[in-house]
Amino acid sequence: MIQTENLKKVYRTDEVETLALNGVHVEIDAGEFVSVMGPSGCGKSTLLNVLGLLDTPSEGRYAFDGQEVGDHSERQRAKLRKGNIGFVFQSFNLIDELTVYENVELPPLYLDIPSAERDERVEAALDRVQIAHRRDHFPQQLSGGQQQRVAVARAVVANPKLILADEPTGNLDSTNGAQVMELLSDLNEAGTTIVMVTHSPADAEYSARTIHLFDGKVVSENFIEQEYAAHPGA
Amino acid sequence: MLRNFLTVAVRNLRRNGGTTAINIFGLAVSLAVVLLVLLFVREQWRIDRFHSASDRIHRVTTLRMNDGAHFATAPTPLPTALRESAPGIDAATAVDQYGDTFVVRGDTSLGVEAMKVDASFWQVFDGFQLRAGSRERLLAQPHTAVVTLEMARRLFGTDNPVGRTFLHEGETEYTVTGVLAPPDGPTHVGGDVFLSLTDASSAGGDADAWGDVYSQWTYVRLAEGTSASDLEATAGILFERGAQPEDASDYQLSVQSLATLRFGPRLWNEIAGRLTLSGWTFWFIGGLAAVLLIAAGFNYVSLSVAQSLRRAREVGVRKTLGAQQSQLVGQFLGEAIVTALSASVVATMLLGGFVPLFNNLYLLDLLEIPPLDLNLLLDPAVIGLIALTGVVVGLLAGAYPAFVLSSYRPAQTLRAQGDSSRGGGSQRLRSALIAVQVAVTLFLVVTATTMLRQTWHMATADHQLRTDRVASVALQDVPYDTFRDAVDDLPSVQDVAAINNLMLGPSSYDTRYLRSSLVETPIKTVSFAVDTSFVAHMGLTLRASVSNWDRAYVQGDGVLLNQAAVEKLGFDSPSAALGAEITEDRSETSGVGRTVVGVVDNFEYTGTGEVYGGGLADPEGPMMLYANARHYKYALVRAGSDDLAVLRGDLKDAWTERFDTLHPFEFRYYDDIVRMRYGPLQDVAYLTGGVGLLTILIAALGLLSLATYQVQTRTKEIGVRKALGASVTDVVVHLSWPFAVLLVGTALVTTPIAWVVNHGWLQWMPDAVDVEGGIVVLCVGAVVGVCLVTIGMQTVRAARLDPATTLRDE
Repeated sequence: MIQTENLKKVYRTDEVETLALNGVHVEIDAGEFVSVMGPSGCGKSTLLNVLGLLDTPSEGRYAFDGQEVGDHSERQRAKLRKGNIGFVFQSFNLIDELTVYENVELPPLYLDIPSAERDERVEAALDRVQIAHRRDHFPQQLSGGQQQRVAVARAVVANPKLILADEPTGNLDSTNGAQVMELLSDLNEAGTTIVMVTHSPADAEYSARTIHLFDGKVVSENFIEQEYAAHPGA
Repeated sequence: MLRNFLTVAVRNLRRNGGTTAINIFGLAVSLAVVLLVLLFVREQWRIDRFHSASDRIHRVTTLRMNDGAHFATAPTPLPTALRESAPGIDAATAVDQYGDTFVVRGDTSLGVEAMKVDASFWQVFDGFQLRAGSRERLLAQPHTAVVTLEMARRLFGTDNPVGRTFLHEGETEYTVTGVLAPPDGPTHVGGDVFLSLTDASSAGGDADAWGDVYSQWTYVRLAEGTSASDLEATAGILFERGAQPEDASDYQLSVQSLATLRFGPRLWNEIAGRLTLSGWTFWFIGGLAAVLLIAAGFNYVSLSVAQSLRRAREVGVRKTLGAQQSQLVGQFLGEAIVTALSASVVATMLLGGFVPLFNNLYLLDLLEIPPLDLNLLLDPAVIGLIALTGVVVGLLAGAYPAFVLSSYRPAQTLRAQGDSSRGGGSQRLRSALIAVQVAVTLFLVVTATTMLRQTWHMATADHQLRTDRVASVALQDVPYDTFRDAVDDLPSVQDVAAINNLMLGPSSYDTRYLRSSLVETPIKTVSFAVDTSFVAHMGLTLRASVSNWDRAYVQGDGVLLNQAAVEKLGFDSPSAALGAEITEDRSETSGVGRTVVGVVDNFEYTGTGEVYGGGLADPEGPMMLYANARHYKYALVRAGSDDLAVLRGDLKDAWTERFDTLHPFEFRYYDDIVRMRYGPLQDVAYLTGGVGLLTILIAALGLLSLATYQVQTRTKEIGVRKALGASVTDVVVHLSWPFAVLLVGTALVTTPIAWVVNHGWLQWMPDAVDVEGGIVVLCVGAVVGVCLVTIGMQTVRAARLDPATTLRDE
């Protein structure tokens, strides 16, 4: 599903040039659950942004779902992203002015899904993360764990092929963190590909493979054989 | 999707209550002014639109070739000639405005506005509907009349007016043949009474009548397919064929559509008050409204961009979830439109307060413009106009923020919370917007102050003509001597004098040509017929006079000259002119002999026209006073006490009881006449000043909001600075400094411009004040002061916060 070759990302300001990704080769198959780890500033989030088509690489190749996307325009990337990729962020990134239901409703809205089907999907997504009883609440009225569950519901509501999670438990206590990881794990078991950036070795254990980044390069990959074996098609 | 946009829009506006209130208030104030202007323009636009094919109604006008003066009238025989021989014309009518006159029925005498029109009038202006009578050959018979419904009631009560008669000016009997329903819109050819104009038709072949280009207005309804230039060509040919050769070369006919009549330049001898507003008036008031709207729009842009950091995250999330830029543009524009529409609602309420203020303007009164009717606000077309204005303003104000906000890239906005990498550009933009607002405010305040000073100067100017406690009474058919004898003994009357044209008021003068043996060319002189008591009564200084000058003045051919005339006629001194024989005539050839019996100091007599640069007389030019009882049109009565109301009452009683006249009593305070000189400028000053105050308010609110926002985003910095030892003053100075530099810089650039512009327009005034440096500095100081205090309130509050709190908040 994801193939990158010699992926580089350079951030430039007037005086400083920062090499965030320095020749990353990654291959992730459909149905995999992959963690990306590494110290702060090693390029984890940048890699996730490039993989999620939120940002463009400065150099190198990136193929998503068999399609070369490295030189796609913003409009093309937005179109591809829509419905194919779901996001979960450390800071939840729910829109404060919208209720739980309305936040989850956004992706199908942007996909122009008719209202009856949209309603069904939103209800199903809310049920799946067990937050349906809070559907009319605003984000500020929820706990961190609840907010992240809403974010997960929003990420899955459009049935994306890939979910990108950027430190999804970073702002949660261990109980809530574990709940969110269970959710992601369940989603992966149901067939969704997940790429997760994390600092937590415990969270990384939920994934079948962990990519270690350092200074913008992949330094090692660990497989959890048992998990990997459970998904031979990956 | 739309529902989602609206939900977010409303919730966002509610969440940022303060900013929303400032935006709505600023937009509402300016929208109210814009709406007022639109209503006013709409009323002007509606003039005579209720006739069918009003776009085919044209007026033939006359250009005087030697001085380029453009007259609204046309040769008297033209309508008949057009009807008889011109192709492509549905109807052509002659209109003769009678103006203020009076009609008599039994014992009652009523002041009315009368028009004389021929029978074709009803074909050209076919929107006038009859309540009684028949359109067939209406006003075709001599001495027939059409009256308005209201006039019919006043004249005949509830009786059927058709077939009844009244006396015009107490002399000519007219029979009512039609009663006019109230017209469906404003008209410039309206009146209370329409009298038949039947004598013009016989004048078609008279070459001299073709030379009379100043008496009648000609309106034509063109047939479909005929253009205005066709009419112009035809009228030109008819004029050349009919008129004397010298007239045909002196004048040129031209054609005006109703559209250019409504908003075009004001012509000489315009038919009625409703068309006396020239195009520049609309540009001026429209310009003021636009300035306000731009100021409020700037606030919207500035505050929206200031909030962009917070909104950036939302944009990032929405884009991540699949939103296209166009959808986000739609969302932000939607918010702007919701804000502007809310502002429209508030503006409509404010308009209720503005309309009476506007209607109070002296100018409207002076130009006989009907007041705006508040019921207009219930008209669906007006409601639509208000809503449309709201949407347009929303789109204009929201466009820039919408494109800026929607262009954020999700990866950047989501990378870090509170990333201010976007701040640089928008900070410059916000500074520029504030600078423009403050500059406009400074300019308006300085200009309004200068105008008010000039107004005050004009209102209190010493014209060397004593008009205090003086009122004028139009003599009409009452001989002056009779009037004077009847009122002289009244206890409320101190003195009485007579004159033919009112000085200092409307610019109407008689001119004469004077010659002396000392100069070769005759000098053009303004002349007034006044009685002997005028000199003392109005406080003129008699510089030199022959003995018993008053007897020679009244009985013989004696005249009084002003010093300017004495000089122009070649005399060395006032006394040298005494007893000199001079020649006077209306034209430059031949004349009658006159003797100079006295010389008065120059004094100001010129009217409004000269004050505003459009007059015909030279304010410092030669002037002559002569006696002629038959010329006196006004008695000037000075009251014995300050209570002029008593004077008015006494004179009115005397008028109705002692004189055998049917004319209504016409009384004016001289102060009202003099007010015509400065009243219009005073209105302009009030309008400019009012808009100036509103722009200060809008700019200050915008600054307040920006300062609040800036302080909020810099709480951490403030905390750190204080933790490192900065005092409250240090922090306040640090935070206010950029604003202060901006404000002072703007003032330094704007002040000279304001000075130059104001100095410039003052040059057009005959008696102008100077632009006082001290007052300009005071105005600038006040505006900059208001802005600095506004900013200071926020920065002081922020600087006082305990650093522990601010750092913990971060």
